[in-house]
Amino acid sequence: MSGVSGRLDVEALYRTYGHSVLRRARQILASEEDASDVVQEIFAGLVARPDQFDGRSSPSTFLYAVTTHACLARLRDRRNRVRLIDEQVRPWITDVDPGSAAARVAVRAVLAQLTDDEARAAVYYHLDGMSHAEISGLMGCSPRHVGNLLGRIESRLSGMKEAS
Amino acid sequence: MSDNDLHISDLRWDRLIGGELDADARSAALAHASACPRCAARLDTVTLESQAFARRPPFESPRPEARRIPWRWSAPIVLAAAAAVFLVARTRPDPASGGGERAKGTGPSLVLEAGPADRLAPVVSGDRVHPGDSIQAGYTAARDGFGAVLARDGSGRAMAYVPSGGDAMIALPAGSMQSFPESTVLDDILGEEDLVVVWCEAAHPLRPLLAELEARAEVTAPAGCTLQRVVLDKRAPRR
Repeated sequence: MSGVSGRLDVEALYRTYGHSVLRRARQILASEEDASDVVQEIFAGLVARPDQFDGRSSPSTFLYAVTTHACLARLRDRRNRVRLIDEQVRPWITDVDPGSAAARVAVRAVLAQLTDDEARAAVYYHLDGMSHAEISGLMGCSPRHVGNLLGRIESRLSGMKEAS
Repeated sequence: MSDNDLHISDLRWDRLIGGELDADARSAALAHASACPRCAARLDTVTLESQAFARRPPFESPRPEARRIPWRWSAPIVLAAAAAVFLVARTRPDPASGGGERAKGTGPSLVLEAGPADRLAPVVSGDRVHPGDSIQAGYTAARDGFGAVLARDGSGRAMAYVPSGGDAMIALPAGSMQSFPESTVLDDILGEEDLVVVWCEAAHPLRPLLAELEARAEVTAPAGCTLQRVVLDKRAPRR
């Protein structure tokens, strides 16, 4: 999405996709304030460094990846992680509908404890409701690998449930 | 086949709203929604959110006429005993480190970025850096102020990265996306690199802040000051 002189039109991206960035950040971080900060951070970052978006992927795909990265980075913040874990209800719930609110709560609570690949797959599957094929496209890996990642997440959740 | 394969994902709805889907894909998605109450409801929700977002104020991108010190090395680079991290992520005051005080709506936004000079990225606590990486603090402030970048390295020693000498905070003129006037390059002391970016309405001496940082691994914000703390994980050099 380019404006005059081939420059990235960040304002147009913001108008078209800002709602998506905000919604996903809100889902992952469970904090309106943090989500708004992520929106500002991402689009201000695009103004400062427009070459981040090279046009090889669609704007929505690019912004999904950037938003996921920004939110997971925030979750890695230790204070944030402690706050989230303390606020979320144990025990972990694993045998529920992937799209259910209960699953979202359980997954959100443990995101910070997963590896980067696992956390991204968990966000795309449980919070965004993507199919294995869509996730594999976003992550640049095979659907089989996505299945393995999701299986590993379920094992981790089960382990946490038993430990709690 | 999982439940996700039976329904339309948010990504697909976002693509539809963004005009990325071709006619066939768009028709297929809408046809599915017309027969699937769950997806129809989701499309309604996403569409309403999109419309609500469109009513928000426009994105406040940095104004070209504003005085702006270009990021990345246009500011004097200080190769301190520790040194260069390039900071750019928009951040908020750190309530856990003293609850930086600021007037509602008028306080500064602090920005941070770190990493190798050719691959700078926004950073938050827990992110990994390496000796030789670079750091720079930036800010957006509606009023003139004063600031500093303080650090406590893996050995527990506290020092000021910015300014690189003296006990006085540096002047930070009001503006959008401004750089602190000095940058630093990280030394080879590994461990937690505890960084505290300070913005104050008035200049404060650094010595008490550094003493507290070294003794207690935290800094209490003086009156009229905003702090942003980021604890990076400094690991062995890249191979």
